[in-house]
Amino acid sequence: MKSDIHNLVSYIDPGSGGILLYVITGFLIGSWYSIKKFFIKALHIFPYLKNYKANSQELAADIILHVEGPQYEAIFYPIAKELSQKGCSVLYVTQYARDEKFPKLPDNIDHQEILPGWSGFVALNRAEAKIMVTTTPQLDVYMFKRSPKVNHYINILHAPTDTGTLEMYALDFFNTVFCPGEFMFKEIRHLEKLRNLPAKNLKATGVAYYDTFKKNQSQFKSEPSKKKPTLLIAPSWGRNCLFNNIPIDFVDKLKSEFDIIIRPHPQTKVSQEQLYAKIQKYCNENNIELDEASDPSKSMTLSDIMLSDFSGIVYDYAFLYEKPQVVCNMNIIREGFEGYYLDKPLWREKILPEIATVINIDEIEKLPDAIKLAYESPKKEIAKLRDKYIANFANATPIMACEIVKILAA
Amino acid sequence: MIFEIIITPLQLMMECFLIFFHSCTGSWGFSLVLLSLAITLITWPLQSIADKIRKREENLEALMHDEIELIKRNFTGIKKSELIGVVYRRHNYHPLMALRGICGLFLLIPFFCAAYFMLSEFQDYQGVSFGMVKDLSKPDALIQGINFLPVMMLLASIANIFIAWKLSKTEFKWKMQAVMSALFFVLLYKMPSALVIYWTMNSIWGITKLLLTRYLENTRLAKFKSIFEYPTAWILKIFNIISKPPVFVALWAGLFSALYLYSRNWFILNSKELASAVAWSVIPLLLIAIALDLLGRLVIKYGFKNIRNKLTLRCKYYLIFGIGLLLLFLRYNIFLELAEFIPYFQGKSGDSSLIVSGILLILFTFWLRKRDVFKVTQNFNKVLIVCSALLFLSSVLHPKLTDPLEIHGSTVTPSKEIQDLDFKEKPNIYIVILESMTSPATFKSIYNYDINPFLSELKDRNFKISDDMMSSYPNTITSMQGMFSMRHHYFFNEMGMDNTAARGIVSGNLYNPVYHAFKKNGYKIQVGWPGTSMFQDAFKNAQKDNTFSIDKLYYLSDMVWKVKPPLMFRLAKTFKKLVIGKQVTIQKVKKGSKVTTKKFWNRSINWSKENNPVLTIVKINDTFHSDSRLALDLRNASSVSSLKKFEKVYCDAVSKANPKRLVDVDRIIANDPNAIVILIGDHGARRYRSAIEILAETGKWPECIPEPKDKTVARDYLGIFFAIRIPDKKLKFTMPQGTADLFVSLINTLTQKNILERPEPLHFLKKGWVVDSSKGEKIKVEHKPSLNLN
Repeated sequence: MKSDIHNLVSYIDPGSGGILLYVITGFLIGSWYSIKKFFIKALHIFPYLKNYKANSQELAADIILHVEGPQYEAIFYPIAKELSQKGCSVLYVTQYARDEKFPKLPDNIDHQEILPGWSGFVALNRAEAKIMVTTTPQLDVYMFKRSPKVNHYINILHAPTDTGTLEMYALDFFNTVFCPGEFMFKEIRHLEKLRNLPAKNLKATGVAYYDTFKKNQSQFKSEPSKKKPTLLIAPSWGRNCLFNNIPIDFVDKLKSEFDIIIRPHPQTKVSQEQLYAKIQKYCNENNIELDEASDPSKSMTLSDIMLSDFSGIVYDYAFLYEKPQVVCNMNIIREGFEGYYLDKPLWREKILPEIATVINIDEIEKLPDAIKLAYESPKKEIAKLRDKYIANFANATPIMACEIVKILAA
Repeated sequence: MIFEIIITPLQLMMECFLIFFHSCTGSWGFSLVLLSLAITLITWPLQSIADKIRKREENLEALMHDEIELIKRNFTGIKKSELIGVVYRRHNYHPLMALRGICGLFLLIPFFCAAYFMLSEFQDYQGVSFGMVKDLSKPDALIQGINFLPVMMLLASIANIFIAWKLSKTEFKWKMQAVMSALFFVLLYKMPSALVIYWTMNSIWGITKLLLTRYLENTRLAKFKSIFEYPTAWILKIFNIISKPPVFVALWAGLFSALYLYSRNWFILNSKELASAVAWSVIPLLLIAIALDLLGRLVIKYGFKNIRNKLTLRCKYYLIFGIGLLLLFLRYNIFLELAEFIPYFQGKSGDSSLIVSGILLILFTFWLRKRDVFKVTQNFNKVLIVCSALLFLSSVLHPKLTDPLEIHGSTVTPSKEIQDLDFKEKPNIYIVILESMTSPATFKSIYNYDINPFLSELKDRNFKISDDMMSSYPNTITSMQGMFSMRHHYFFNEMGMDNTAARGIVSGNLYNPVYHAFKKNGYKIQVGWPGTSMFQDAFKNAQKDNTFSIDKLYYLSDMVWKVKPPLMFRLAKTFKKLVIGKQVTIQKVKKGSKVTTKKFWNRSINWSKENNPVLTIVKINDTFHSDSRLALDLRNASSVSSLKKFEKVYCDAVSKANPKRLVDVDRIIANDPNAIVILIGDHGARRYRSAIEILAETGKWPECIPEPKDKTVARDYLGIFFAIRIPDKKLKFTMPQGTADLFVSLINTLTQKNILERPEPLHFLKKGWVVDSSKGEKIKVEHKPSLNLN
């Protein structure tokens, strides 16, 4: 039989012989992909096994509020309070230690702390709930997987920016997305259609932390007798961010005109350690205030003008404080972001010139003049734009809680 | 297993075509050309399907290409892998699925294999010339020893590639194919001419197909282009009509009933039986289909946990139905297994069965149509219908193998020859079938056992004894079938599986020409059979009032072996009991008496005297003691010591049995002195059985046993004892050569004319034994048909 098989192989025709090579290549590629998948799975499991004890706790409730970092307390704490008043069974899951500095959770809300990073996601991936609410995007893409025991996933888009700034597949596998305003619907629907995904439940609920920020605005008061106006430099993080594209020395040119506060995005400290160290060093050497607080309210209140890039803080500064600002257009590389797939111009490209002075990164030498000009002639239509685009301004939390309860009851 | 399920039927089909074409053209060369054309036409729809699948695969890859490239440009490491994984998941894709693109190859490979094995095994064109080729079974060596045909093949192949490249609208990988052509030229250079002709013609038909399609594109006939490009589309249209409930029901009922009736050569006793046969041939298939369907639904609902996310719903459904289909067509046995149920059905009211099956069919069909996965099920039905139709057609086409059951030799047609037999003398006849009783020569040469005292005793009683007779087949089932059908059949070596329907024939449930001939001449049939054996069920439900039924039946309670029946046999029994048994009330069944052998002889001889003439057939098992079951076990008798043990057990059993036989013979002679008495073994003792099995499996004789010399194994396997006593001196008896012509000799003796001819020898086609019993050569385990039993 063996010799028969040998002869048979030689019988296959030339065309099929070519295909045979194709089979082998296809098989090898397929196998390599499977091995890689297995390896990645192993990588996911490893931290879980390493922290088995910490992870062995079970997360179970009707509603799980997943708070990835302290900066999201402004969103989730008010929602938890609202849900508590409605008598829902809520588990408040944080990926950080929640000590006394944080406001106390209502008595009927359970709190559970899970490990930060991958290990924490392993626990989330096994959670049991009717609804899980999170601000973490890319569900079922990276380490954050859909738990088979969770029926419904809700993503809260915490900043009033467009979908284009999110990384690929950020919202694809959520059931519901709470959007800052209806302006996002078109973009999300466009992506769904493009990728042949089931239609998500989209709700224009507004921006939750605006409620808190609005209330806290009166806590801080700027000094009326200061000599120079205060400039807040608050860019985003990542490869496209301001500090990653322009050497921080550009601040030297602004020192004479403005008192300066530098507030790097909190994620910079986590994801771009070297850059953060550089900023820290610069601030120390030049006696410049470095704002490292989780809540940017103070800096925003005390400042008179802001310099930023594509960060969501631009909208906060405009819609909450209606103060002038300059935004550096960073020539964002759209590939790898949802913006690549969306119709141009993006929402942010349309709205930015209306709420801020925009200068291109290659015109950076004009920055001092631009800031000065912006300070002297602020935009006047900001409040109108806010009412047009942002849903439930300063009243988003109760709406969100209501929507969650509705989904729970469905 | 896969080979036998997929390749063998195709091989048979190709052989059918080849023989059919040869019968039309008279030339093996032209037959090869036509075979190539037929296969090209048959595989055309498959190629169209493959093309469609390939194009779909290419489109999908193109669809994902840009997105994956973008990810590769912008991400690295795990992030890249995870994002690519999302793209794959969204498109229900896995890189291994790229292999779908070459499913054309997988569809065609069975045809390649079947053609290869068929053409390399086929021997009828050995030494046959075609044109300038002197011998189709050898390389042509046309130009001073250089093979020219492979050059032709290469040229045809290159022409095919060139034309395909010129006509191709997309990227065509001609370089790769050209290199492979050259490589295969080298590899096929020394292949038989028949194979090279077949393949050269395949390339030429390929070119014709390409040009034809191209020509049609540029003419007014362009609208018919789709017929040539996608014949499947037209076939599907036909299927859509077929799948409409009334047509569907009629087709199922008609096809399977016809197949079943055809398996019985349309031999139906009366209209009730006809209705019953039609009904009951459909119901088991329906039950199987419903069971498979339910199983499919269960898998869809609950899934195999590990593959749940990997396979689409449709994949799962096909998977389960694929397995079902394989089981259904497992070596055609499904039809034979159905035939085995017939004894239960024949007494049943045919009309009510028909109504029930009709209602079931209609309900089943509507149930399928209402379901969300109906489309898939519909495809399953299509596949089932196509397979059945192909099987049916190939059976009809084959001049030798007229139908799948005939391959096993299970159907025997009542012939005019049998109807016209007129016995001049009608003595009582006693045929004593001795289990594994080997020939005197074998006793001497292999077992070193002195059988002469027994022979002397028989000779004293006027017995004629054959010294070195051989059975036609090496086991009881096959041997009995040959004996009672008076012809040769194909042999499948499977313990307990009644591939030859021997049980049906011996028990008179299926047509038995021997019983028919004797009954027509006024004989009554009396049978004594071991109480527990693989024949028991058949006997239990034996019919009476047939033209070939048994009149008196005894179960011999002391001839029982305690051998556990094989799994399939037990399953079949359980199935009958659970599914069929509850629905069928057996009527007109004649149950035999349970007696000891001693009582049997007393009663049977008396009954024979009273009802003269009587043909008495009795199977005696004590020549092969139940301890000898070790020989039935494949592995136990595979060493010298176990052979010795076997020899001892066997010879002891024979020593004890022979005196009993003399007593039996004396009893017959004393009470029925004019009766013809025949003592005949059913097959050899088979001391080397395990060794032969090992040889068949591995191709090597087991080292632990010294390899016997020529003739030894054949005698061990086929050597049978044969002794006959004919008191009437007028009757001239010609010694039979094997079990298959025992009754030919006997009937010719009784008619005093040589009306019946010795059965035509057939090839042992399947894996197993190639034995020349006339020469007594050593058994060779090959796959080539070369047997001549005459």
